[in-house]
Amino acid sequence: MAQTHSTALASLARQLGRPPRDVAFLEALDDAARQQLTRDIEHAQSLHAQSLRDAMEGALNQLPRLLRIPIRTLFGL
Amino acid sequence: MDRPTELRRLARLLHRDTDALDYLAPLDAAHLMQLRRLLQEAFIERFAGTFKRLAAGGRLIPDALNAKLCTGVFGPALTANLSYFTPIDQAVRLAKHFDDDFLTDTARHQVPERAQALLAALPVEIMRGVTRKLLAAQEFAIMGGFTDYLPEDKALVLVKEIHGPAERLRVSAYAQRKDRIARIMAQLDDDAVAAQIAAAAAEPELMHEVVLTLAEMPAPEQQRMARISDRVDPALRGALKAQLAADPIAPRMSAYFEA
Repeated sequence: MAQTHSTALASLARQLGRPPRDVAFLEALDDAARQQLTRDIEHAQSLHAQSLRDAMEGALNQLPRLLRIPIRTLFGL
Repeated sequence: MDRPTELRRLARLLHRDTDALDYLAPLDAAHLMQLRRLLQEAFIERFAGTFKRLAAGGRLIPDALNAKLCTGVFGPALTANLSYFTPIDQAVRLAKHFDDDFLTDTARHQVPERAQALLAALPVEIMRGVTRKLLAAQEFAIMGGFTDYLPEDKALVLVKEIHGPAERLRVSAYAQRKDRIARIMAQLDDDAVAAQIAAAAAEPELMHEVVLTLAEMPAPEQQRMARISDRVDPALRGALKAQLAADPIAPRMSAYFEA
């Protein structure tokens, strides 16, 4: 049980890109709540990442075709 | 710190209704805020490398061209993310090239905590247009979030752009710093305060905001609010006192109740 507990916290810490001590306050949640939070964060991160990728694609598509690949490489898009 | 305010802000970030976050009940307001900040930082950091490189490139080109790239190519979401990595003086110069619509769309994508230095440096005139646009679109959550991080003198100027008393309270429902809201409310004239109290009396949810704000006021201000409150409705204070009898906030409103 303790292992599940710490695994769930480690997973949340990874999702948020933080060391586990930064999410220690989430120990107040039970297993089901931590799992739901993990799913909600995943959902929100995916929506956010998709909206930024769409915006980047939209920006690149406005550039001449020949410039797109070097700009992608230069800026890591 | 008000838990429902923080829950609303977190729910918005997670694209969920507040009811769907009942499972977070064991977390208090401070922990909800901590969670929201971690999430916002994670969003920004995930693409930080790209935006740092783009912002570095932006330093090498003239402002007018850079602004054209922002409005014509990058769009508001990318510009908001670029703003976190752009030197403040340059970001202010660029903002002066943007129209109100583009600034407003960019503000919708910004994390106010990360934009704090920019908010301090931006001329309030630029923010007026954004305030009007956000208000017209009823973007109370965004406005409330910015209210927490605007310098207070600018916040007061901008609050006066919000003419509807109920709308002011809806913005404050998303602001976590009720102490700042209290100081801003204290600077409004009696008629403006009366209008806010009357609006709150008509909507219980808004009255909650007035209560939270009153509790942050020093005794002399609470006494002034009591006088204005009696002007609006002489029965209001008594009704509120009875309603909040068992609420831990009541002792912090004693000057208002006993005036």
